[in-house]
Amino acid sequence: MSREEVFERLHEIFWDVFDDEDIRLTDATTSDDIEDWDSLEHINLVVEIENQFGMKFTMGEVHEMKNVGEMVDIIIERATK
Amino acid sequence: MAITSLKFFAFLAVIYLLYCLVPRQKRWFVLLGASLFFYVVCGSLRLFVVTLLQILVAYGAAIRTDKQQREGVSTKINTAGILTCLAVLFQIGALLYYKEMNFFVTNGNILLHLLGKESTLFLWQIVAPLGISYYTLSYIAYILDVYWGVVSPQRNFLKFCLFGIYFPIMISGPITRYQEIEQDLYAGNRADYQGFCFGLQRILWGLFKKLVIADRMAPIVQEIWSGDFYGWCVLIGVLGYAWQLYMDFSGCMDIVLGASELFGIRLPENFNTPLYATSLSEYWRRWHITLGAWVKDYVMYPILKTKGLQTRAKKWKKKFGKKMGKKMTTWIGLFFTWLVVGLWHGGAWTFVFGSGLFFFLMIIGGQILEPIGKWCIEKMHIPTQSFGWKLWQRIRTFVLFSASISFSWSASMKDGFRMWARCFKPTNLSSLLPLASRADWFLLVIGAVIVWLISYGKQKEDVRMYVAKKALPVRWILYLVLLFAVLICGVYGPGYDASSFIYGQF
Repeated sequence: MSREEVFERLHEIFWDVFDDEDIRLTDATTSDDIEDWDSLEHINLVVEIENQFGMKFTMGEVHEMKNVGEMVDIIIERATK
Repeated sequence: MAITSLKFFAFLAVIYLLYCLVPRQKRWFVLLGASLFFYVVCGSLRLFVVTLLQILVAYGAAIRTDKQQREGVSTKINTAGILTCLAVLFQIGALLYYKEMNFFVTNGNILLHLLGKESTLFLWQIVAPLGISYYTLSYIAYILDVYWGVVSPQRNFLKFCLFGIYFPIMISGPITRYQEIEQDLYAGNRADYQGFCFGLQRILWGLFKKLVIADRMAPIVQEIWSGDFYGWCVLIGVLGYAWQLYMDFSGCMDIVLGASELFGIRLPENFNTPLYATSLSEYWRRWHITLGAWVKDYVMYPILKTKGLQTRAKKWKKKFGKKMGKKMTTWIGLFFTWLVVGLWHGGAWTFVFGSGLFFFLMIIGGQILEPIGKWCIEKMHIPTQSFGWKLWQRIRTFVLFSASISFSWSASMKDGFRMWARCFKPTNLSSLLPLASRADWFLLVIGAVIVWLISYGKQKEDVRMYVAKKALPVRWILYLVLLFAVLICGVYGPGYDASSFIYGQF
């Protein structure tokens, strides 16, 4: 799965979770850039990504992901396994 | 040895000197020795056995789990998972036994009474090991983090012991995660000149908050709560207690973080100017941060990620709509958060109820009433970015927070409700004045203004850096004013018990 494909699917997930189609993601996007991205929405987002990509984040990754770029790295890593 | 006592500062000075004299790679030994000494003086050698056992379990389980996972033995049984579970259960068991046993006994007796049984369970005489409420959470975090691959285990047992009993955090936390202090703890760095000054300033600031404000406020609050005060006076007592608690706990944290800074070890912050929170959920993120983050990462997230809850969430989303379904799942997570926070604070229903009230108000205000609030703001054309509106939000948040923790301080649930009932009777505010001298009231007001100014400054930039940039005489005048304020205006003397930090009891 290419990085572009992951971003494309992530955009849809983010739009759906945060109800905002104006969200534009980059590698550097963090929770500070999206108004409703608090700790509670973070877990909803993680679960939605897991469902859509058919993969699992470890709890360590859930805590440690610092931005969307890291999230994409993990998704690609899992997809190639 | 209270951390506001001269003894503690003499101890700190000796340890600091030794720390500087010893070669860099051996400095952590000094800290380990100091931590053991502190533990024995403030706690007891007998109870150290319990702490040591908890350390051994955390240490051993982490190494074993890491080994299992690196070897990647592919069996149907998740040995690493089972080991982690057992180690965590052991830590929880130790915490429950030492902190909650009498809570269970008391409730057992109530249950027996309700069932019409005559037998009574006796309360246990249990003395808890020093800092068990704080360090146990750190050990649990460590065990789980190793299992989740967030951190590599510490293989040197003595080094791990230092993490386990590092003396500044044994009184009231902060709840520290291994990876947060791992590098600093063993590096043997000591603070440079600026770091040293920053550490001392922070200690002084903490002493000011504790000795000048919190301990001056304490007898007034005590009097209001136990005396015949009504109406607005009760509300002031409730707000006063929240203010006293904030000054007491954050003052303690300033002393702890400042002391640790002298050894070049930066501990995680526990407060981020909570007075500036505009909602209860924001307050939760700014108050006792390390506990909030711990509960979020090790209780709420794992629960919300469970298969069972996710299946339920899907059903709720279908039935009640996406937004409401998501909210309902979140409430389940918040329910467990509330339960853990309430129980952790003490074995009494007052704490559980107080914590529950906080989360209940958070859900009601932040999630259920939010659409109504937004509608009102739109209709009334309220400028939400204006100073007045922000101020109103901050005051409202502090009042709601104060109301919820007021139960935690009540001797019983009945007392808590009785006190709130007194709130609805008419009274004269001037009846509060005789509770303290004019000088005390003046100092409390001045103290509050200074704290507010510092909090305001912190929103803009690092206050300590701001002071550091000032000319030498200006800096020293500030330091001396603070020092003399503590020495002259601090509440101590015969009969004063400096050891009674409110959060020390948890």
